[in-house]
Amino acid sequence: MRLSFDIGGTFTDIILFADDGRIITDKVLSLHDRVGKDVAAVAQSANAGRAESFIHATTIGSNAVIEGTVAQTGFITTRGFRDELDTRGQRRPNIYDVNWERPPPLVPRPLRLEVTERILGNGSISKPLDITEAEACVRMLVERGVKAIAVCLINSYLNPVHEKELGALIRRVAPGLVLCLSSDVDPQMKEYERASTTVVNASLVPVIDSYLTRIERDIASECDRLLIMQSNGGLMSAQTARERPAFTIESGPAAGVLAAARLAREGKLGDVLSFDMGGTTAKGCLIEGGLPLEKPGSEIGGGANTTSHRLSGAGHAVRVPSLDIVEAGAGGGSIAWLDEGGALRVGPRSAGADPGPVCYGRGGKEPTVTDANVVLGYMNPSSIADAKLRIDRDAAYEAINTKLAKPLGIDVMQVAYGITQVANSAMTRVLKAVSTERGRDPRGCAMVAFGGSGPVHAAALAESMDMKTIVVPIYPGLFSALGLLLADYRHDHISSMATRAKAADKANLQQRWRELEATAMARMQSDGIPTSAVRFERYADLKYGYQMEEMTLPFPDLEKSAQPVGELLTGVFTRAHQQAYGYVQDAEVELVSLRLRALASAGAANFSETAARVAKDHRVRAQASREAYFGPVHGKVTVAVCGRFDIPASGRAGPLIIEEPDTTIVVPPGWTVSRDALASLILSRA
Amino acid sequence: MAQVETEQRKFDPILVEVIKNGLASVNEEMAIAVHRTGRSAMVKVGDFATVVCDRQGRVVGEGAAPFQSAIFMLTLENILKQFGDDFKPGDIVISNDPYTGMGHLPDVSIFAPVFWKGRRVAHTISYSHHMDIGGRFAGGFSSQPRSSYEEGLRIPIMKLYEAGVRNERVVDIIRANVRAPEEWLGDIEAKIAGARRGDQAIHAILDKYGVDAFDSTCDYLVDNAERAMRAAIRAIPPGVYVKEDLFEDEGYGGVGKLVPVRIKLTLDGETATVDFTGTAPQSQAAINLPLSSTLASVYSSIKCLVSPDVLTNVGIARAIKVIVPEGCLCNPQHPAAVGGRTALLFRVIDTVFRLIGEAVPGKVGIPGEGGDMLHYSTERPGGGHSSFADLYFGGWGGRPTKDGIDAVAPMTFGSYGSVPAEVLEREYPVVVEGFGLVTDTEGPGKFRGAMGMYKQWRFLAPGNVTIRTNRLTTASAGLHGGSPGALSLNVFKSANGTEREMDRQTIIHAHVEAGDAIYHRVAASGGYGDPATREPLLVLQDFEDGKLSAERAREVYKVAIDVASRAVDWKRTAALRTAM
Repeated sequence: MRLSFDIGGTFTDIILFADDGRIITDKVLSLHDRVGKDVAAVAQSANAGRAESFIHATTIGSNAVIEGTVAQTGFITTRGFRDELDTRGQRRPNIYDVNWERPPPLVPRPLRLEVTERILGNGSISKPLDITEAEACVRMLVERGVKAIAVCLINSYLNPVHEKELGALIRRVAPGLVLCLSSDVDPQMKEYERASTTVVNASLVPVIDSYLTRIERDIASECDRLLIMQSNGGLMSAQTARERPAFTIESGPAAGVLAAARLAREGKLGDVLSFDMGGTTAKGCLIEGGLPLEKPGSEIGGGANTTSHRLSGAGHAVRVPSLDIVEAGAGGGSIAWLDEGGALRVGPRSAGADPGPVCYGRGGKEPTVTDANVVLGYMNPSSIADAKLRIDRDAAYEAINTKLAKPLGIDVMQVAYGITQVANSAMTRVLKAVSTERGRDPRGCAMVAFGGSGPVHAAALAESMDMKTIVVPIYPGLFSALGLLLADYRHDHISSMATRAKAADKANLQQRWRELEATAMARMQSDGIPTSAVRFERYADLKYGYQMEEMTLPFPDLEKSAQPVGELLTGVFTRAHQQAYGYVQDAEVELVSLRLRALASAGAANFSETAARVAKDHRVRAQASREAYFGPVHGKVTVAVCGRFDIPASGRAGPLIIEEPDTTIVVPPGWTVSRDALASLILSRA
Repeated sequence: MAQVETEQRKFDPILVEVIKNGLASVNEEMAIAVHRTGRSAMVKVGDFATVVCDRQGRVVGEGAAPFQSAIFMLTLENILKQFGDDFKPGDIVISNDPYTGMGHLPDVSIFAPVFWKGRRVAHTISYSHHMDIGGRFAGGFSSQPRSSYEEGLRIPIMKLYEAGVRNERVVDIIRANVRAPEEWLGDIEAKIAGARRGDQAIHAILDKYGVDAFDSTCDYLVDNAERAMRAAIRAIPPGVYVKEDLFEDEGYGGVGKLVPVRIKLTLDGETATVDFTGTAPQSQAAINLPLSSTLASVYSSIKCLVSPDVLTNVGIARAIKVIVPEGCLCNPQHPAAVGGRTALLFRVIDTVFRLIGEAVPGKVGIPGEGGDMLHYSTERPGGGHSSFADLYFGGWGGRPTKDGIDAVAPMTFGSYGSVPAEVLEREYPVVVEGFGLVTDTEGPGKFRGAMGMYKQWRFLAPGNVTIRTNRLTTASAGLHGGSPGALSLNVFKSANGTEREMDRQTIIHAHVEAGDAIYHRVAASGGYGDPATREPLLVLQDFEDGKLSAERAREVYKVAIDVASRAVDWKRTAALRTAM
């Protein structure tokens, strides 16, 4: 038996795969101090025996940073650099707002101390570490009551000797404290990013430790081990999560994308765009050849940036490998309003889960995207979620009428339709950000749509992106929880090279790879994975010497080629550069870092088995129909409402509405829908 | 909530928002193309912009910072004036001419008409800062040239491509005049790639919604900006405000050579008139601010009166009248040199913000200092030349309800990043010995301004250094009772241990030997409101953070801090504050 639980803002989604073939889904409230107990209770009542593992997508790390509840942390750096955590490369995300506030640094200035030492840009020591002064610094931090110390010295990515010296000192003087060295956590060039990543990690260690300890205690009676999803879409043990909490920052969103990637591989869908729309945000990710695009790092604590996906600087840099997910503040709860010029706007304010949309009847007064979907007939006008949540369509209609339609002098249905159009135009920007803005043509991709609201909007979005195929998988509203059950173990390790490619030495490289593999293997073993189950993927970060950003590319097999290493690497880079940017230059190529991915199966489920189980369990539902409005061209039409398994493999023409406990799938006129072998609904249009 | 007269409405209130989001996307795609394929370091730190213009050549789209959007208005007007209807698909116009609308010679713009179904329906324009433009000094932003002729290659508004065919003679002339021509032409290609992406993306919008919806949306976005701007002006009681600041250097150095920047703001309930009469005549040195930059500074500053999501476009400009006498510092005539215009640009933005701050108390703060830069060039050991430009900023001044922000580019300006020390040290013979905030430099106020930010470089090889700075003798003053921030400071630290303050010039030239270091501090920004009314606990916080000494807390903020217990001494504080 395996069980996954994915914590959201309000609810925690649970999926349980019992050994007898049953799949049990449930929801409990997201209360951090008791979620373990509640999940254990669900497992117990399922009567499915003891679980081999519970797999968890957590928001504990990101919430602690956003809410400022991280552990009191001290920071030690080279003299002259303590303010880098505050100034953050001087960037700012919102170029229009003169009332902007920079979120405060995670370590207040009195806890940021400087030591005398210096390593130069070639790795040589120009000033030894002043050990007396360093000890005074450590004692001062202890006196000031820190729970953790993060150390980041300039150029330690090239030569960590002073960091190691300082680390040994800290362990001696303050053995009880959490200690993170930047040369361990993120051994890469650029001091702010490395320092910030180290601080985020250190300040979260105590937080995630007490959180996981509580959960492990609460679930101990029901399962053998707890696994945690990372931002890179791979799993790690709870023990590793305690050491590397910075790797959990985008845990939940990564799980959904990972599920979409698995579906793409298993269903042979080719390249896909994942589209995940929930109550407050919409997220997109490009999946090529079954693998999600990745980015070398992200930011936390700055909020979604609507101006541009290029601009950063709002939050704290977290340079850990992450799935390249782009997010916008548009969801079912986004509020529709009229601006001063009389144009209809949607978001960025959200009614969230509390009070939520007007139609939930929980005190929401401002019309939202979900209210528009109810008024248009897309969502059930009386109840959703297996009749657990009552829907008040009249209230939604009235809110749109008084707040928007009357002032505009436009019919309510037109306005409701307009709300979805405006919301879709904002979400289109997300999908463009992960496709056309990265030089990829979305028209050849299928869209995998999930999240509570994703399948409602998918068809309209696909039309505006000129996409022809949408795939709505099983459990679209619990897709991140499903993704947890589909994931493998993964550990990323990096080794900084900072050498001209031509100067790279084969023997040295092979030595570095051996070291990385040994580190990764030890990590896998501590996670309980046998050596034979582990496989490695090798990548290199390469750039032209003058460039600020590098490209991560598969590392060539040195054994298979007689070519000198430098030429091999230069060739790999220049080909990729030509493809991405359209030119190559007569400049030296620099080998920035080696990246190792260690992968191992976690006994993951697959879609075909899961779909077979779902098909077996499905209930026959009563035939129904209702009116829905599909814009001025189609007008109001009567639409059949059915369930997933009412859709034949041969297909059925839209308009059609398919209701599931966790979402609604809208098939507009002009679209047809069929069901494939993995029980996915395939929406397509000519 | 707005009650809109439906019969007057000429736009679709839903499509407007849909197309506006589409335009934001167009701009983003253009910007990404320029950023990704651009080769020079200035593109990488953010010194470029792209915008979408409508059929009439009006900037409508969003995406670029307010200043960077506004800078295109004059060039666009001149391009359309010059060519009229003489455009064919595939035409591309190039210019860097400061006398017809560009900023300074290194900023090169690329303009392209967008045709749809045989009609010219929109345009795109972009600029990026090239690392060189020929001339006497590499880099193109020295203050030393005495005329445009010395500054480098001036490219008047002309077609680089006609109907898709590149004019190779123009390319040959450029190639013969700039240093590193391949990189230079690569940056041009990047902007052309941006224009092509823009063209495709605008087509996608037109295919979907048609030209009428597109045109009426552009009209709405411009009209809405004007309406919002006029509403903001109408809300201010009519009045006349004058501010004169002293720019401390005419470009050739020497303390005391002050040149006035005088601006008069007249608000009549309908229009804001900004008059530069009384500002010093144009300088012989390259510190002059070309008209387009002056206009962009004014527009983007006054635009701060309206909501951030109103777009910066000609609608804003319609409500603002700018008078700049020909031949003055802020409207220099050919052949005045303009390469080192940036310091004056920030000064104009600063002065306009202060005028608004007086006219509308409680609305805006002090926009901040920065754009300081150190340029270092040295011979490579194996031959050849190596140089970097390290750009960084001070921070925002005090605001009506909150402190300024330390270490960030001025309001209205874009997001520029600073180069990490580790990147500099890897590529160049230099050691960055510190980059941080300087204690007791902030502009005091009820809400304090940003602190001075310093950086210190030690050079490991002999070379030449140029420092660009300002506010060496005239501080960033406070607003509404606030006090000034600390001045910019430059110290030469010789390898032999001696230190000397460098000349108080806006552009400082120096030769360094191996082992010499330079300490440069950007000026701090003024505070807002009387510092003696600042919340004592905020004063204590700055003291705790090591940003403020107890002495300064007492003298400037009238807050007594008991250093031993690290607490406010409330009794003595009350006494200090009532004694005033």
